[in-house]
Amino acid sequence: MSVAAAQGKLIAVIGDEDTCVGFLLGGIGEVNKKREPNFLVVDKNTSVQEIEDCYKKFMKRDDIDIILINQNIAEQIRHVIDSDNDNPLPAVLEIPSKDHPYDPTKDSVLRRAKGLYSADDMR
Amino acid sequence: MAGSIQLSREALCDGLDHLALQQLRLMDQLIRCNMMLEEKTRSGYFLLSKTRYSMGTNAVSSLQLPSPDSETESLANVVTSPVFLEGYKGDIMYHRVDVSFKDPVAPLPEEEEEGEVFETQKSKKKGTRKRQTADKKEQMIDSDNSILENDSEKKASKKSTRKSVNRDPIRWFSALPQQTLRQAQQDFKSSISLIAECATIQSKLRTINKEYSRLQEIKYKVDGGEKEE
Repeated sequence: MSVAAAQGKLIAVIGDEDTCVGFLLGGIGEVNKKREPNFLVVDKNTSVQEIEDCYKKFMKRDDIDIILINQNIAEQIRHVIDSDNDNPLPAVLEIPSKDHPYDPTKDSVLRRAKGLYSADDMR
Repeated sequence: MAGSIQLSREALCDGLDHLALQQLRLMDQLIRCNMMLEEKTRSGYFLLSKTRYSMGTNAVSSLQLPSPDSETESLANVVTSPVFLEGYKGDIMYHRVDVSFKDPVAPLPEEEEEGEVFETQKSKKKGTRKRQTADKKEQMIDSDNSILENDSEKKASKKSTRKSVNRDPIRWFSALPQQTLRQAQQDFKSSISLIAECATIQSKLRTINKEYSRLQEIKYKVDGGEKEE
């Protein structure tokens, strides 16, 4: 934590095996002195509660500035992601996975931006 | 009074139009950035699959990722800096995100190695001094001086031959990584740079969304005031 604070913050990742392996190969993986990793590999045995708990833990950590989450996994905890609107950091980015291509209609930030427009405003 | 309300409503509508155009531009940029990210990661996944085909399925999997027992340091660090939105007199701010990569090869701490050598030498001297007679004390002083000279020479040589540790995550998967694995690593490193760009655009879009909502509320209040009149 002290190293991260002095030299920059971390990127956390919640994704399937390929996503985690790929981004950790890129160099974002860390296990700190408290034995807390900054990644979670989600497979068919991972429960929604585990994903939610991990997401909330990453949001509370002050050494993480970006959370990457596969879009299909984000759909499972959409209610938690949409409720965290106030803080700009850590930034939550929904990324496509190998099996699920990117869908802009499901992205939280884009949906919120689209929802600002209504027919009454155009009068 | 009616004239001032008309003026403020026009100013509000101009502000809302300007923000709406910025929003649409940023949404387009964010979608393009995400599509580029998808392309890079897809190429990375394909190369990982090719590596698995030659090395074996379990050779490139979550089994090689660091466990909670092993302390690992990240090589990619994120730095955020606040930036004021142009044309808003320093009131509205978003965060610019930059990523930097550290050198995976890191030198081992030198002080620990030297300290151990010096301490063993000292303990040897203490053991031998107890048995030394007065005549041999002069020889000890000469040998101390020569040891100090040797130490300084050793320091100079140690600087050139200092041990280093390679923390490259590619080493988790193979001691002699294949070309496809190296290419996959490059793809994912480029993806990480794209992610920083996406995070910056997203932060700007969130800020503009907030400002748009705020101006909309003011416009509703102004419209509500006009209707009462």
